[in-house]
Amino acid sequence: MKVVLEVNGKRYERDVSGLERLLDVLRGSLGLTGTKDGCGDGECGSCTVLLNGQAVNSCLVPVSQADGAAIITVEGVGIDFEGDHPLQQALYEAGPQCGFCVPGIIMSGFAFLERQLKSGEPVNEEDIRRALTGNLCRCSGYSSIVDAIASTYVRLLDERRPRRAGA
Amino acid sequence: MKTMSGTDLLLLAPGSVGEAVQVLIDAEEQVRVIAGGTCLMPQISAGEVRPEGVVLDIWQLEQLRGIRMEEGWLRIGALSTFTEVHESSIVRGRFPILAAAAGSLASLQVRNRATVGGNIMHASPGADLLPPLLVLDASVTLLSNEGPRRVPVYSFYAGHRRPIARPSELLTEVLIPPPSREDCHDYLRKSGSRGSLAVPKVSLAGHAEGVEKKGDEVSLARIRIGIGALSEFPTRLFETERFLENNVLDPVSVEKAVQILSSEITPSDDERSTPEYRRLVAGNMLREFLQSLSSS
Repeated sequence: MKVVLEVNGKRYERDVSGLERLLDVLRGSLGLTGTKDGCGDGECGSCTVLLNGQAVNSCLVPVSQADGAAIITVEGVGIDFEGDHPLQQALYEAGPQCGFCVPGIIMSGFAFLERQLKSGEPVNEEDIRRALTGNLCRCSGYSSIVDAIASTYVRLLDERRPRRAGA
Repeated sequence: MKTMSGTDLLLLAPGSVGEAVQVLIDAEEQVRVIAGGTCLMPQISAGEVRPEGVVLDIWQLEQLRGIRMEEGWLRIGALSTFTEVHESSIVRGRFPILAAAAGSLASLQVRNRATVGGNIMHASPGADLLPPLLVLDASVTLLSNEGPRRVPVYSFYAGHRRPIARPSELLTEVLIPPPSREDCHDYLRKSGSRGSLAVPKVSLAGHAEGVEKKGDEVSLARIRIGIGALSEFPTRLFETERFLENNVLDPVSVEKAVQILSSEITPSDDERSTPEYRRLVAGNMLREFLQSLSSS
């Protein structure tokens, strides 16, 4: 079957088998290998992408159901910034170890930040950890990840605050 | 109807609920229904679905979506995701135990795709929505070419992973009756290896109405207890409920209720846990629930 996928703002038309995993189409047919294949079960989150604005495990989505959808992968989160998204910078500075969880963490973190920035309310550690319950990291113990997301939130809130004229 | 094939599995995506039911009737082989895919996709990837089989995709059937109140009843479309149930202001306001259970499944990524209908039909013994649906007196609507029929959730399973739905029936919605009173007390707890992304070993839901304290004793008008994960399918604990409705609660009768629960359950021995552990934890959960009624 033919599907049309909008990935990171770009339109792709592909001939696929309907029950192929979205993960495999992204990595294989589209060559976007940033999204990782960890467990195939929806239990590790390394395959997380945004599908029509919602974080999902791309290993669980049949590509037929993504036809016509807007998808964001880790390759596309920095689209509004010159280069990397501030969250990516913060996570790199935090010093990942094996790095395998990082793309999925970036996607869940990005989804969380986008939701929270709408309200502008303060966040606590509990809120961030809850947003990351679907992403396993075997190396870090999560603290550095939580701190990176928290500091990025503060930074983005500050950048989006309206400036007074002349300031 | 869209017909797609590629791998050996034939994927059919009907445009209407009627067409979907017709596929179920016409198919000679067993049809696997796919909704959000959170249960079926790993099985397909692992080669656990017969290659010559048919997969019926219902995800595009908007008729099966929606959460609304109708004459005091809550109607939840079968394709409602766990996120939709968890975030619904209607469910949070009127049936908070169900919103809480929906928010406790797996992870946000899974909750954004897993559906109410899929949770019920996949029939995992630990299905997260079952204990609260049991205590809320929920029923499901099964649609065939003969029309709809309604089945109470407490009689929905004939055995381990065996819903009583016929192969030619589609689960279209879940119905929950109006709460009979305002002064309800709920309890929901599940025990697993970790806080998320873990299939539970034991889960217990409780719903008590008309709770009155008189000194050291507590009486209640009505109680429902639903237990999941510990045996072949989720069930109500009818004997335990009957005892609690006919006796005031005090420390002695609470222990008696725990004993009745223990005799009423047949906990499984599996890779997740042992019967002894399940029996102990289930009893502890009941005690915790009943004690919370005394202190509220």
